[in-house]
Amino acid sequence: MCRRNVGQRRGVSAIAGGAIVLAIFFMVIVPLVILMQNSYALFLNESNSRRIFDTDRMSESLTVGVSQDVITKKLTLLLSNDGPVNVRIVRVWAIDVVRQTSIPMAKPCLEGELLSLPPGGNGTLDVQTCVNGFTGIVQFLAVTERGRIFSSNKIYLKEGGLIDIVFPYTLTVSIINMKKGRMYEVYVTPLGNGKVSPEKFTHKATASNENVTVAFGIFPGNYSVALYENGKLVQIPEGNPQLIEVPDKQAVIFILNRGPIISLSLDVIIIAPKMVKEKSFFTVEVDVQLSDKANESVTITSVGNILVTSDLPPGQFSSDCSYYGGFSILPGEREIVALCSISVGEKGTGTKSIEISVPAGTIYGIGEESGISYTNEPESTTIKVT
Amino acid sequence: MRKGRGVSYVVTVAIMTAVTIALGLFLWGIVSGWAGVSAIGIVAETNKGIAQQRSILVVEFIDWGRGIVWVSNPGKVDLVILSCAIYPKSASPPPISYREIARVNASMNSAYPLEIGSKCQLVTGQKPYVIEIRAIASTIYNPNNPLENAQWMIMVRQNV
Repeated sequence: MCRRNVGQRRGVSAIAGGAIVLAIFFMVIVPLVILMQNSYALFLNESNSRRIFDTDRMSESLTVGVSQDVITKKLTLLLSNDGPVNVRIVRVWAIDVVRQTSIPMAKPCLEGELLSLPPGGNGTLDVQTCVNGFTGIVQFLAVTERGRIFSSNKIYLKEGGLIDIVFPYTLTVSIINMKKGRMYEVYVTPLGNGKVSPEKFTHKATASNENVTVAFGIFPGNYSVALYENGKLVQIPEGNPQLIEVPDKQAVIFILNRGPIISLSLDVIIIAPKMVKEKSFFTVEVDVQLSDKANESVTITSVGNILVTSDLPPGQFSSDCSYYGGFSILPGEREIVALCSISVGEKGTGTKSIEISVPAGTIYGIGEESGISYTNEPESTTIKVT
Repeated sequence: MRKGRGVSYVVTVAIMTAVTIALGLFLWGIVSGWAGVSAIGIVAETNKGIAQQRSILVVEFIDWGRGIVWVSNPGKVDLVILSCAIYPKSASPPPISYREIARVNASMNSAYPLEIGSKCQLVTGQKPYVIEIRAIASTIYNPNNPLENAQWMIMVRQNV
């Protein structure tokens, strides 16, 4: 009886110990794991939120322009949201560019909830009060709610209004022999106190050996004039960039290292069978091809007679040619200029032949850019009659 | 005698049970204490990480004429600026002393001025210059020990 009681009570401490271990597990370890998971989730959520904010911030895009109302003559900021996210303008600074200081006072020009622009939206802000009476160069900075800063162009103001500057001199820059399809940029940079407008000119050549001349309004002073071709500084014997002093020098010419357009002979291709049988009918095609080394397109203006001769007996041979002209061919291109239908009768005894010949100058073309003449070299082929 | 032997068994079991419960409660206490300390540490570290994620500082404009650096805070937490230095880009950064220079509230409604000289150190030299500002979230800033959570500071460095 006593043994049985002892055996039953032996498990009490084991049960108590097990209960405590379970209690520790569920009341301490499990909540701790849940807390860690929760903290980690909170941090991830915050990181994600920051990532979204940074992405939105970098996606902001705003064009800031300055204009003057035609009627009221008030200076106005033209704001255009060309990005994919909503942009809210919270502050506008007006900067005296020369002194690098804010105007009119040591505080922003405009502040508060100024403007909210949806993607593609435009808006205006009156900034006349910021620049009233100011003379000098001004730049406006627009600050967005996400902390991005967008700047306007630098503008000249006289007593708070835009002025039209009359430049006393004109600088002309010529670019000779441009290559078709290339982008050319001219930069005129003041070296010191000079002033020039515009400071940059961009042109894309639409034809080979194209020439262009551009004029810049300019004040006396020293300048650097540089020419870039597809973003690379062009190497020319005269040097690039060229340093000039206005008004001593008011013209710069960049002659690119390309030869002038020269006339190339037109290639003639006669497509004819090598051999024909007597009492047969066949056609001969005459093509013209412009060399791919040509620097311009050529208009084929006229096609002369193609000579078709034969030693066949009289009355046993006839030919009729059709001629095509008045079309344009590009360098490397080939077009048909004549199609001859030839009829062969009985050849009689011996070996007979038909000769197709295109004399020199039969095909005549004019260069579309240079106006120079293009003609063909003589070409012929012989067809045996069996 | 038989009766006495039975009592000793009961006492033995009771003692063993008591010892087991005592040891269990002791273990529980140890584990609970460790878990509590760990939980506090985890929460604190998470809060610091989150505070850093929420910290953003922008240098809007440097007014060289008046000697003022204008900063703003588009983030979600107020910031305490601990250092500000402007120095030539080609030179090494100057030695920095960390102290509370200014507080910048988390709002883009206003910009805050930092005066060059008194609040923002200027090292003159060859242009261009670089501005370096270090700031910490006010929620994890300890005024008695500004460098306590220095690893959670943010640094703004940009050409000026």
